[in-house]
Amino acid sequence: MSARRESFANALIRNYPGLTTLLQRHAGDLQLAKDILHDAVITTLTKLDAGTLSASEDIAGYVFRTALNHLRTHRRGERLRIGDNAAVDELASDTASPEDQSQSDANTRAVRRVLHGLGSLRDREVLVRFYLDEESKQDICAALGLDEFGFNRVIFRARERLRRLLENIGMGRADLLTLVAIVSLLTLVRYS
Amino acid sequence: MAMTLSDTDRFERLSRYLSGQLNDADAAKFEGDWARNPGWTAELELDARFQAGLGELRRRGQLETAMRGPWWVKSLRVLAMAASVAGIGIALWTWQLAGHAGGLPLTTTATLMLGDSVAVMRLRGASPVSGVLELPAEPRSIELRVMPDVSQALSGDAYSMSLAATNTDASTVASTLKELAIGKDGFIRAYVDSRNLKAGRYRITLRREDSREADEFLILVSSPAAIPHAD
Repeated sequence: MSARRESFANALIRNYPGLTTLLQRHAGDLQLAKDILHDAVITTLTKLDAGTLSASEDIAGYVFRTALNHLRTHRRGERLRIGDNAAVDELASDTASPEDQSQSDANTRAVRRVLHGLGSLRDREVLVRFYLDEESKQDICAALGLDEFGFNRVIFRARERLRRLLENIGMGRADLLTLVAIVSLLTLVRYS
Repeated sequence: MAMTLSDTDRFERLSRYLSGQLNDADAAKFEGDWARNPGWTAELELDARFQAGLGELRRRGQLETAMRGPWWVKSLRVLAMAASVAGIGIALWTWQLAGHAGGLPLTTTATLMLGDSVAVMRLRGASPVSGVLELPAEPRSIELRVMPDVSQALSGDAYSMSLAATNTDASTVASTLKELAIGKDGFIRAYVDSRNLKAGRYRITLRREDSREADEFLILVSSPAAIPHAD
């Protein structure tokens, strides 16, 4: 792969801070997460080159799916099963670049603001149990005395607020627009 | 953006997919649906960022603090309780002095034949009056259609609304209609019996139920138009 394409691959990776952290969370290591994502980008570029993937397809989604498939393969191969999410969260991201760290800080601040914006402790607990502890909707509703509508309402509103906050700090739609631009450039690079 | 059933189902499938809780067949089906819906990528990234932010708060040992909510909420609650006690005292005193000066009863449906419908909204750079109503000659239910601040409003939000004459102390407004939803046209609706209104200025207070901030709108109520008599 040329240096130019490598730099495009790296630029593409930077547009998936959420996915990167998710991979880190499940793989247990930031560098491994980046490697998995990098491999996913390379797989995508290779398929674009081979013509088995059309440039008109959802390239961003394809990278995302491929990365998660690589993660599954890795977990099966290594028999790495992380059962204790809290322990994974304890893993320090010391190897994060300043740019990654700044993005992570902004994201964390936005999530904290979403938590603070929720009206009750119960609503905040719904989010933590659902997103962080990965409990099922049924379990959460039973534990917190919520019906399905109430649960959905909390999740929907919290997501909408996070989306707005991220957009306000330039981490929302702007990223995706950048992504579209990068994908367009990538298709040009294929022929360079 | 309104929440739909398909949205809420998707949130759960999406979350279970991200956390590896779907079996291979369900994961493959999810990926097939995803390939047909490119917009899901942004949704997945959003959920992943939610997880990332919460995970980072836990890693930094800040999750418990964040779970307790903003520090000022407790202080505010104490102040609010003190203010409530004081408010109740003042309200009782005012009640005794001037009779029932509190807010006017609003309803979610028309209780009489429907009269005028007043659209109340903030108009940029315009007069402070957000709506004008001419009282009907006969008793009618007046429909108040109030548009909340669109930059703050979410279609799933619940609102409370009260109506009072502007010379009424806000703390004495007792009748508040709660759990009002924004309609498809962006307005929140409530009804008032025209017999409870007199010519003058009224204040509509609209508050998102999970927020401390309120929108206030001024409406002008005028007497019924004089009907010319035939001599």
